[in-house]
Amino acid sequence: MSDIKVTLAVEDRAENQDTLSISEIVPRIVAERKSFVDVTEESLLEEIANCVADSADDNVKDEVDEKPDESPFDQHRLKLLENVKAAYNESALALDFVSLLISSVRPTSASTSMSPHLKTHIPVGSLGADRVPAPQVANEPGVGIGWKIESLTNARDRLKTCASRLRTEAAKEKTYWAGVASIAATGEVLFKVRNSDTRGLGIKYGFGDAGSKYRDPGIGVLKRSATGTVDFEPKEEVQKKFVRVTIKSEEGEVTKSVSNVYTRDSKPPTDPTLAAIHETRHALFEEELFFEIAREARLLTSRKVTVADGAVTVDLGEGDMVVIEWVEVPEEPTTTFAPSLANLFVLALRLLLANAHRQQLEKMRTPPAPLQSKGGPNPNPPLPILRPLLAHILHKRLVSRARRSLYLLSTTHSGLSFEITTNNSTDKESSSLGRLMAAPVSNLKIKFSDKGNAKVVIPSPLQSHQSMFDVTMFKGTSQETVTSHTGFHELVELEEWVRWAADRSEPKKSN
Amino acid sequence: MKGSDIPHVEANYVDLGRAVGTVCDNAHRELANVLETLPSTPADVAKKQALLEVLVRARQEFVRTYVLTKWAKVSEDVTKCIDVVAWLHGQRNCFDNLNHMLVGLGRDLGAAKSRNPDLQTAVQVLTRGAPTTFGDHDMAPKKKLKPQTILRTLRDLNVLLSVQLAQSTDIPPQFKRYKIANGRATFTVANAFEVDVGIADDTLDGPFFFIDFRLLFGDRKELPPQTRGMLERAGNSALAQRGLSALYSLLMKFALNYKLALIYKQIMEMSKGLWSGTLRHRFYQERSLIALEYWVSQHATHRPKSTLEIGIFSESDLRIAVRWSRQGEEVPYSEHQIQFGGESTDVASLLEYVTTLHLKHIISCVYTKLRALLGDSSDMVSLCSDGHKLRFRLTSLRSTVFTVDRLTGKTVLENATSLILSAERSLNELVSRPDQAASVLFKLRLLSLENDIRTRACATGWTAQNVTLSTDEMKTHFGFTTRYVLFLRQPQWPSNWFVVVTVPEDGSLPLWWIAKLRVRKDTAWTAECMDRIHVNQDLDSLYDYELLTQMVTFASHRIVLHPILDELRAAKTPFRLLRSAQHTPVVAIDNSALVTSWSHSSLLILPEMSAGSMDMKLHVQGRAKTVMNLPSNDSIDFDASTGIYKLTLEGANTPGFSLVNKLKERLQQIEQIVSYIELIKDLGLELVTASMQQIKFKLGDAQVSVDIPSELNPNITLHLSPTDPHNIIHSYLQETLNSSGLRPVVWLLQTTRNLYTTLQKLQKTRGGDPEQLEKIISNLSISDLETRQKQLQPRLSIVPRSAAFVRLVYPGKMNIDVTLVRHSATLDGVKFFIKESPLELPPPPQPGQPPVAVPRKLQVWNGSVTPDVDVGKAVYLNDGIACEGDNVGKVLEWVDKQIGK
Repeated sequence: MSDIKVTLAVEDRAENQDTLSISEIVPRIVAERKSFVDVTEESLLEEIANCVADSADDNVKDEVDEKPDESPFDQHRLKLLENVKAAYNESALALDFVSLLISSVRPTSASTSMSPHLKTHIPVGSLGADRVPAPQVANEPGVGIGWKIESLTNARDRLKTCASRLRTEAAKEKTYWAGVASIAATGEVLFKVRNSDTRGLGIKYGFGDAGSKYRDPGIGVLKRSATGTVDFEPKEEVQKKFVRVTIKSEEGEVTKSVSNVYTRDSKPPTDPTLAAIHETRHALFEEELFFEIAREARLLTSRKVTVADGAVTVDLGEGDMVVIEWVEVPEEPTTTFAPSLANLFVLALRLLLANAHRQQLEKMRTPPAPLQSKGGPNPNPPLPILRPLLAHILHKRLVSRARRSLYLLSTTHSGLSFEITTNNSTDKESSSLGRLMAAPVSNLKIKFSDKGNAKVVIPSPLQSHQSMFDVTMFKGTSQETVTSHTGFHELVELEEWVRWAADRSEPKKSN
Repeated sequence: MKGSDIPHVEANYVDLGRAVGTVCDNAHRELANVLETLPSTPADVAKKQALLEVLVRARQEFVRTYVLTKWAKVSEDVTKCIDVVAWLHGQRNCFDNLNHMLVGLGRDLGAAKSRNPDLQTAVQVLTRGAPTTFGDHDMAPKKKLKPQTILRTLRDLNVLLSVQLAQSTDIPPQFKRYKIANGRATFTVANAFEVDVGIADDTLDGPFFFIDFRLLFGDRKELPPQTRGMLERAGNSALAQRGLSALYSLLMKFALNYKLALIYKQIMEMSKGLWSGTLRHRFYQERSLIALEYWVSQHATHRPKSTLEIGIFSESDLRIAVRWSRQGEEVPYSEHQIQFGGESTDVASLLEYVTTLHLKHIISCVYTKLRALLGDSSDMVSLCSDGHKLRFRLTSLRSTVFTVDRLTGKTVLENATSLILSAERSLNELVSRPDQAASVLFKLRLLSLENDIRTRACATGWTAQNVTLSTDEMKTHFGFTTRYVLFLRQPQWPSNWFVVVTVPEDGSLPLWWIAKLRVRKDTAWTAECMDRIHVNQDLDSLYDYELLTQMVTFASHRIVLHPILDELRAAKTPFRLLRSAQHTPVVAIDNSALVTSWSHSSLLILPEMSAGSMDMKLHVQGRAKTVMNLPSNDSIDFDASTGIYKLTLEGANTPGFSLVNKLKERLQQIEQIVSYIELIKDLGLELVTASMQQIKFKLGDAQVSVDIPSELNPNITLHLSPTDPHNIIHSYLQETLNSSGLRPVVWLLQTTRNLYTTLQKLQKTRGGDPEQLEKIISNLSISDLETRQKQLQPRLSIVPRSAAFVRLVYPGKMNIDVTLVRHSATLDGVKFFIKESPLELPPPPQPGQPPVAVPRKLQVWNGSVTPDVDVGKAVYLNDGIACEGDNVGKVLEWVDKQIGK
């Protein structure tokens, strides 16, 4: 029997891969390579090149293994058959025995498995059986102890792993809470988050508490990382961009000044989480600034402020333009603050947003106005950021234009004299913003020799309820008798009127 | 065929009698039993129930017995029936037994069953000595395929694929571009996807299978494995069922929907950013459609929506298309030609493109409409070069730019003033923008015009007042097309006078009116009079300061003139008002009712006002028919060369001033003067000076002046020079002048010149000079006066009785009367009668008696004394002498001499 090899292991077969058909190979390729996707001719060629070195040994072994079996087949077959027969006989006898034994208890079911030979020769149920009382097993204490020891060892190992895991967990928790504490110590607002999807510690890094009503409230989650450090994750992605102001002249052809400052810490905190929080907060501030400016710009469309191509463009007239963009933070930020016009401009914008936040906060603190049945003002009006700045810039330009043209007029009309005073009274309450918060007003006094004098009030150019030049004409040199009162919208109109009034008060000698 | 009989059953038969007996016995026993046991049952109900049960049971038994007795009548049939039933039962038992036996047989045969012979393995074992390939039923790991094999297979596959694809007929056109390599065919659909397909069979019509799929847009990330697996399954099933075209449509749909999702993501991002509040979007996934509404406005909620529908519209033509609906109406592709969803999937640029087109559309629509509305003055509006803006000239100085903000869709008007801003607001609330915008802009122009006029008027000292005129009034006065009316006034004017500026809606130039209004009971006003002022204007000089200043003068004049014109109207004097704002108003009057023929009939009245007050002078100008050389003075001015005369009337603004009366008065005055001058000319006298007050002319050597009646001096007065001899009869002459005019006076003066000269001479010689006398008297004291009375008493007094009758009184001697008689019949009909009049009048004659002749003292009257000097022609008339004007002096001297004797 020893010369017949019967094994459950797959015999090495001399499979001739060359003869396999495509329909056979393709499924095998898919099975071997998981997918057909990565199988390319190039990768195969490479593989073949790599395999060339190793293949020699393999081939030798293959040769050895694949020795053909020389034993005569019939002999083997007969022996096999004999063995099978013997085994069959043995098993039949065993079956008969068991059947006969059972037939004393359950004759019908036992009779089915009895061989006909047995049935005919021995009556059913003729073999009986009875329980032999088992001999008393001696109590082996060693076995029990052995088992116990094994269980205890297992338990100990488990406890050990648990303890070590707990220790590492505790260490992680410690680093986490230490991180949280250090963040909390810097004054950040932390709160519990119990949402369906996120649970943990939330952080308010935005400006909602400072009065901002921006769509992104600036809420993030402080998560514990795998190593136990605090990971800061903002709820909404905040793009790392900043507001850049470019001041151009000559119809935007010449760039005069570009701002390069943006909100950031002068000394970033060493803690990377805190640094990330600060950075995100600053980015959020810049984002809010830009979108508030864009929202406000829509109100100013008739004042030559356009929102196009992702930028807010302010046309100041006379070819001067201010372009406000939201651009990516440069890789290497400038470290020094250059007091260029654009830098100052963008600084003023930021101060104004902060101020607007404060105003909103105050408004939120005051009791709300009674509800109106319908209508009512816009609950979320654009913040005054661009408007105060623009009002002053445009006003100043207008006043200087007025001064220029009046000067020209006074050279041709001898009796004409004028004086411009701009209201510079700053309110001490809002001293940080100086006169930005007050609407600009200039007063212009014009004297037409002794015959009359006029008072011209030049208000903020962005208001719409009043004329740009509010003109009151008085008789004589005092301001008592009003002879006329009117309002002009354009400087040309004022100029024309002044010319007329000057001509009238002092007719030209040539005529 | 008759079968055998059913076997008769005899077992278990019981006699009926026995059965009945048993039943009865049973019933009886039960009843008895019950009756015995009942007393032990405690409850009454239970007793009854137990009894009832027994009775019911007994009844059932008896019913059955009854049935049996009935059956006994047909015992034959019942017996038969019983046999049949018994037989049938037997049959059923047979079948049941058979069934059981078969089951048992099957079970018993189990042991006899043998395994299926594994013939294939058997053959292998027989031929090779061991089972080969399939023996392990793929349970054992196989040896890895050699890369060489795979490579070869791939190359084989390449060949097979190219053959198969070349032969294939159902390749969709989108799959015409393919590449065969690596044992697979790669189909590429531009901007969509790439798919790798392989074959698993070497038959030429074998099915393809799905290998790999890649998206060719977006960030080209690997698809998540779940999606990929799902796609592979779906792809393989599509390939198996309907081939490549099914695969194409499956994958294309997948790719396009994926793309749509990416687009939608972009839109979501956009609506958070700069476009926030201006977009409204929805993704209909089941329809593969994104509806994107742009220019969402809170104000114009009723305006039809402008939307972009991005999606797959056709199953047959799989691509992303855009349907654009501009304010509710779909724009055909030929117009917009949007290329989207293929190469470009940038929604921002799509929106930019669409909004630009929309903007251009609006601008061009408004432009066309506005040009149509403006008519002649269509050069007021012009398109900016790129068509994104519309420049609209509102007034000479002001213009606005109309455009639409591409982000929000809001209408924007540049150069904001409060007026323009309110127009912008109403433009933004319009429902249908291009249709109505033009009319709003047009209205804005009218309002701006009105506003400009108001501003400038206010700058020159006018005040604008809000006055509401009823619609009817507006229509009657200004016509149907006028809506914008401006009421201006000057502070010093009466409160009900206005200058009205109307801006006609047809775009023509503003009209100027002067109006007198009256407040009615309610706040409305009604016009009492409304007069057009003709202004020479074009748009630029429409409201310049010059005009407005002139307008003050003109309108003030016109206001003051108004009552005068009313008076003229009332007096039915034909007149015409020559109006022009650049000049003061002039009234032309037909004065034929006022003056006679000396002047031309037309009379111009030019008012003149002092600045700042309402005092007014009227300058009247007329032209005399004949050229007169009248000297000018302050009240009248004659132009000697042209005959134009000018006179000035003052106080025209005072109440109660009557032009007609004044004019009549002044014209009469002139007429008088003119008539005097004419007379003087007629008489051949030399005119020395002439003025409205006085006419001075030469009469011989003397100068005579006549005061013309005027306001100051209502009477006509004659002035003679102090040495003039006619002074004696001055009062009579004045009387004559008053009663009969100048002519008789002049005649008298001429005729009696000789007489009074002589009389003056006589008085000088006889009576002394009265002046001298005066002097003497003034130097004397009263006592002296008495003493010298006699001496001073003149020897001759001249007592004029009338202009034509003078008495010379020689005190104590006689009286001489000189009478002027005129006989008009004769040519030289002027005669002087000099006669002596008695000192005392004779007593009046008795009736019937002839008058007694009074004795004459002088003897000269009858011609008895011949004059020693030549006295000319004289006729002696007994009691007097008649002589002519030339010689009356001489006669008188002679008579005087005679008296002196």
